[in-house]
Amino acid sequence: MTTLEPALRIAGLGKRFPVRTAAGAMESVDILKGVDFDVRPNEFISIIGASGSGKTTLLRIVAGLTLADEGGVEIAGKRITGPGRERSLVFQSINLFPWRSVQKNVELGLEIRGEPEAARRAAAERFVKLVGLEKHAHSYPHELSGGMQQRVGIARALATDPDILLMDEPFGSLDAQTAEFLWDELLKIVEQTRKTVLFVTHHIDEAIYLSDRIVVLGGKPATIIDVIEVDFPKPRYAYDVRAEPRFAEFRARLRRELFRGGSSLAEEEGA
Amino acid sequence: MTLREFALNKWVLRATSILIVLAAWQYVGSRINPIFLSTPTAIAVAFGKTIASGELISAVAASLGVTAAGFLIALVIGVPIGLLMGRFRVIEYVLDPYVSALYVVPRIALIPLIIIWAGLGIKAQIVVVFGTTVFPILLSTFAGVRHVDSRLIETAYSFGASEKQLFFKVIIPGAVPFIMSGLRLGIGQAIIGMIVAQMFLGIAGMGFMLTNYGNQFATDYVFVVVLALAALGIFLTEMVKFVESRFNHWKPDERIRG
Repeated sequence: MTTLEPALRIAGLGKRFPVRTAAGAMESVDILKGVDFDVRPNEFISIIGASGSGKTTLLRIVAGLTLADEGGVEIAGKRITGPGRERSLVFQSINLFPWRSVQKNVELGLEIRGEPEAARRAAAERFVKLVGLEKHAHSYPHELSGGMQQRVGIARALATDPDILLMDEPFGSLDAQTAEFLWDELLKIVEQTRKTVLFVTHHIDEAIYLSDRIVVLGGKPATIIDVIEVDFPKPRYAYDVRAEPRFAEFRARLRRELFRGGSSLAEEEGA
Repeated sequence: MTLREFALNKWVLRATSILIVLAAWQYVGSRINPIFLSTPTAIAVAFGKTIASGELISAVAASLGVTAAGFLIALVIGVPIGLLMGRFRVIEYVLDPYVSALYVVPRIALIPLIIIWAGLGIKAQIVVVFGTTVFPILLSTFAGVRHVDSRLIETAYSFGASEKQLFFKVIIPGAVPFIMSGLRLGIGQAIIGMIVAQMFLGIAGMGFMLTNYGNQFATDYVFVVVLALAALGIFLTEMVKFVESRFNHWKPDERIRG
């Protein structure tokens, strides 16, 4: 097996947030501490953790929207200092521009980059088609369903042709049926466009279904408590992955880890 | 259409209402001193005379000119200042003492100063209109910037947007609905400012006509000007609404009512 240069290296990452104590004073609390892992090119990695485990914070640091207090994120051997064109972010809240048509929303990143109009339009048309919304290219976001809106969010992220797709619970605001339909869509798109994906979720089945590896965050401050290799054959949309006996084993293992000590959810449930 | 449907048609209801009020007015007005109330027929006659002499047309033209000039200057100055105050804290803190102080002073109170600085002509009238109009526009724009969805700013930033790009691609389009309601408030204020200015400072225009005929106790002519003002107000508000609709074409239709 050849050793590939990692697409992304997260090294000794730590983050503190100010928290108000019972006495009313502000105190710095560790949220993430000593988070270390490499992402290989074209790998699909999910970061899973209970709510409050710092998984979204981790993704925001990788996106360059939040600064790390310790360690950092390296891409091609270089420490990142902010957003960059090799990364694109897909948001849970989708964040489409309501005054822009689908087409113009997808063009946003290219417009910011100063691409000429013809190139922008061609790229946007291609990715609107890839997510199956060519009939809605001139619709406005409020005219689309939630699932369609998030397809636009994915097309917008892909249009700038990033190497790495960062996804922050992208299907978390959608109903279960729409979300599961979009799992297959996402796998097809990632396969076609050959992206590396870092995917944050709290949804166990979603993580197993989509990922090559699952990074489990837990504890206070959160660290990596497990890394699971999910080696089901691909393409996974071609058969029923969830019928595999090992799917149930992975699920049981993740449930144990997520509901065990350290996570805020476990504390709340134990209380 | 049944008789019941016809009677409940909104235009039929409106016309009936107006006819009843006009008839009552005519009845009462013709039985008391015409200085108090005048009558619809006397007003119609006065209207015909002011049209025939060209007096009303030239007064409306003078008023429209002053209103438009003051409103446009308020727009050109109020919107950029509102945008900058909304986006940059330094600019907000440097300017907000003046904005707050001027906003609470009734602008009419400044008319003596305006006469000293700008004289008694058209220029002074435009300054008064500007003064009444600029604040609603500026403050709505400011509020609009503050209400721009911060998640959209972050989205643009995640694609590497510069401060200038954030301003032109997110802040300004995001603030447009507030700017438009500022313009709608502003046009109403502009008409008030124009009338007050012409009552105090005018030798022409609708405000001057009002004072002039009021001093002569020509109630029918006063009503002609009041009705013309109502028409002018509706016309200008509809113009602003039209511009607004051009900017808000992407919005869902939120009008739901019984």
